Amino acid sequence: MEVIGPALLSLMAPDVLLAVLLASMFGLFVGSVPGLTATMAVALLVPVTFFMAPLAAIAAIVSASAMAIFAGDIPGTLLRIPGTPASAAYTDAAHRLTKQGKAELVLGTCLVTSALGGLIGALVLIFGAPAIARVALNISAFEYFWFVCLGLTSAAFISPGSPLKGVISLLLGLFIATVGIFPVTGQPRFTFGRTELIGGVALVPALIGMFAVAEILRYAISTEPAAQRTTARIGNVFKGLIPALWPYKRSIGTGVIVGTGTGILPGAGADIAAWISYALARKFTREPKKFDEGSLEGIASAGAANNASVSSSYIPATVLGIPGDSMTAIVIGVLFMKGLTPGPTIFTAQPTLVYGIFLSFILANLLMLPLGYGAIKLSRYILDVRREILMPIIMLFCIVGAFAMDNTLTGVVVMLIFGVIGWFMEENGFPVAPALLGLVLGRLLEETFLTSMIIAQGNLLVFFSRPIAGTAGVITILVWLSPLAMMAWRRSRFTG
Amino acid sequence: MNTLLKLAGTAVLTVAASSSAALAQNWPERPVTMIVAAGAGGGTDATARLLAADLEEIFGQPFNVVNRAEGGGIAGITELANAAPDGYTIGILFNYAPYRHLGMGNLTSASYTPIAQYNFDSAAIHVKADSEIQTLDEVIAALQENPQSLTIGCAATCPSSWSSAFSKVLIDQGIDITALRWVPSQGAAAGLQELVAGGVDVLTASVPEAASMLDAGEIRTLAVLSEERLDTFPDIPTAGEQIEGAAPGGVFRAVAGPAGLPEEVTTKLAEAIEQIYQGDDFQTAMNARGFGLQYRNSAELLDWMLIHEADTETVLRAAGVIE
Amino acid sequence: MKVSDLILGPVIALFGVLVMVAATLQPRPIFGSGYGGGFFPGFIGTGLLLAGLMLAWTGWRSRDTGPLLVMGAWARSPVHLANAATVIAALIVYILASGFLGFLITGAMVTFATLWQFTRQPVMSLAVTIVAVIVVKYIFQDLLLVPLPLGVLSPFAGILSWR
Repeated sequence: MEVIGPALLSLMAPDVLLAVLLASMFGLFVGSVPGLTATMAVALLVPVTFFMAPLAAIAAIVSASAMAIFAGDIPGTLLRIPGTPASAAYTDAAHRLTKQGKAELVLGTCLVTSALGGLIGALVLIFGAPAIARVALNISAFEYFWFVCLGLTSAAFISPGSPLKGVISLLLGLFIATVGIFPVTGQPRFTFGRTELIGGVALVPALIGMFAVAEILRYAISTEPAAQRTTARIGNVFKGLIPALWPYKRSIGTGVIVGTGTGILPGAGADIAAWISYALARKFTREPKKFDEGSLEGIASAGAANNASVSSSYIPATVLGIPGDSMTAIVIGVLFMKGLTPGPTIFTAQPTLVYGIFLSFILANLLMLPLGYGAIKLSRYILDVRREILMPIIMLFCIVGAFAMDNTLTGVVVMLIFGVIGWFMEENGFPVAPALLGLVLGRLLEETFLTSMIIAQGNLLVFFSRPIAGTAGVITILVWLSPLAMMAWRRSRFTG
Repeated sequence: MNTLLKLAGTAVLTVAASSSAALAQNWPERPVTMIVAAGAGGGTDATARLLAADLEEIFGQPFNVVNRAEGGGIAGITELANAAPDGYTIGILFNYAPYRHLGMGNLTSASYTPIAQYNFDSAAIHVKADSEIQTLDEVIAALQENPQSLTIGCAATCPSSWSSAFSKVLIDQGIDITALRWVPSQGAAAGLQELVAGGVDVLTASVPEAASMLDAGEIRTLAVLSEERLDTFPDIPTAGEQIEGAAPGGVFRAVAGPAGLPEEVTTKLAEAIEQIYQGDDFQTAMNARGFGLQYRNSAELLDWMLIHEADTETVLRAAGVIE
Repeated sequence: MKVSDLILGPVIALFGVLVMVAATLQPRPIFGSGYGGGFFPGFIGTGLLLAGLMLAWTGWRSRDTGPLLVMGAWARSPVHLANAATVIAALIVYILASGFLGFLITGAMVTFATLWQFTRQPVMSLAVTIVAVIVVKYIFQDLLLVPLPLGVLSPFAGILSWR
């Protein structure tokens, strides 16, 4: 660890610090605009990083992604429109509290737990990277399949309301995920011969539709006179935060663990981390009634989880060159571009650089507190803009955001369709969250299942034959059977 | 205001000038779009941005890279084929022949104007470091003995560009490739993970993609399907050294335009790309990332595209994709 | 717009059947794998069918509690109907026209139409539209290098790039 000193020094170079500062502000902006995601913030930085030194380039990407994931919470909280998919899991919960006049407290919670999650994830990265990456290498399609099943299970815990309608919503999401390319042979499926559909239904335009367009539609037909806007100034968001969050330290801890773990798994990123930790917090809360009426618990847990996963996703990326999500895939590309091959040799050949990158997570997450505070202060002006002016402007941003994801109008079409579907589902008591979760996990579920079946030659027992897969499989099945077991137990107690 | 009027006037005149030759002579007069059918930060994107930066310098107009990654690239290369052939939309073309047979559009060499090829990455055969398999001969022998004895990763959907190149070798050795256990994955990185985790026994992918895992000592590369050993990885034997007449194969990247590009534009671009290709900066940058360097001019590229289509058809016919 | 479970249930079940039929129409598995593209959608279709039937059943049991279709108050208010129509029409117009007219013109058109409908103040709407479109164009096209379509303004690409 004697490399930490020189690494810290190299991080303190003026050009690196300037890059981090500018990229942070850029990330905050991109994340807080509905329709622009953290991945897009990173992708848009790529051309710029061509002209930077390696450390400055990667530190800039690190800062932008961490900031964007936090900033996604701001429009989610104030307008019920998540800025990035990673905030979608708790947007409803956050906005519910805003309507009760507690926007300040929610945003403070998001900011502090984001920084905390990111910092703990960074510490795991600094001290555990090579060892953890070794363990992660044992994850094959079988293990993935069970992890995805566990992730889907959380759909059952996410939303209040009818569980049957939640299942239907999930199935619709899974079905939509099958549109596009069949992941085994690469043949088009359910595309009706249209090239636009071969890429499948993109998550981000669907998300913008279900949240932003549906919200604009709800506003357009709302016959109630505009609610008296809560003119509570957003003051010191840190005030009274620790006493408010202390009771939820267990949920925040779970969030950090889930986030760190999800980040390490290739293929799963910040959005999945947020869904699962929110579901876990709701399932195991000590105050179930308060949780659905308006509580910081789920927000704190998921807010910590998504930023923790951003940090830990760099473990497989740097140690093995395996991208954990679309953001680290870009990071690996940039590393290669700078003539650096990710892998264990990078730790011996370029230790100062690698630990400089890791330490930039600490820097970025500490910087998040003052910069995020500023962003929250600025964002309160959004609440002062009259809704009838704000909504058309948001619509314009959404159009461009949906377009920019793949640079195609198909995104805008998807956004419109999902906007109408999302509005109709909400009117009829179908939660939209499970549909989005199905869309996120659907392709992974099918691919891991079919890959496993091909490897196992159709023998289902092989799904349990590896140690980690076997354990995960048994846990999954126990979780699925637990409601039945509980019912049987209650019945036997009443009759016996 | 005056300049604005003048500009408007010029624009009207430009539109009115119907002769495409007249347009082509002054090309480029405005920014050129460069379609890259892959995500930002990937290999195709990186090479495209290298070229775009240098083209911008040579022609004094921006060359804007537009990423169109959906559908494994089909959307991007379809858009390239359908673009107006005015020289203001060009793009990066790669192994396009399989799409037609998989029911996605009808892209052939006639859909494009080949300009110049600048890269070729050979397929390679990898195993886990502690695998019992030591040479390519052993893989072939095992598959000849029992086609179901090994799982083979495609590092993408099956058939992929890499698995197709390996299939060609196997077909020449008299192996029925439909009887093999091909395992798909979401890209090369996921395939490597599956290989190391023990999900597949053999993986087909390029050497640069596997470089990190090779460095880490997690995998071994049995053979690279190229004519000669790679400059950047001289220790890896070629398939031909181990098996008489093993066909080379892999993935090419080239600059192309939609069919019917004016000849002046093609010539200007081809000259510029050759100049960039010969430059030290480009050679260094490509070597640093492990990309194979290979140049083909417009006519040679067209010949190669026809070979690529014929090879693809052979493999897909043997795979039963083409009835 | 609240639709009774008695209607939604059968609709979802029917959709499930459609998915199952579509799944069986998928091409046969190729290239050594035993599983084709219809395998997984078949499961989803079955699930939708079962869930739809269950929803219809629960709706049947509580049929006396509500009518088949309840429209919101907005359905009787021309202003609110026009609001919703404007939003949807704006998006459709953008989808159809932006390729030809380009972002600057189409984006301004749809933003102005929606603002005018919501606020009823043409002058203010126009001012907000101009500022918003220019800001969005500068941020996305010039700073973030998003290739927003130029459409009929393509010949002016040179003067419209503000980098």
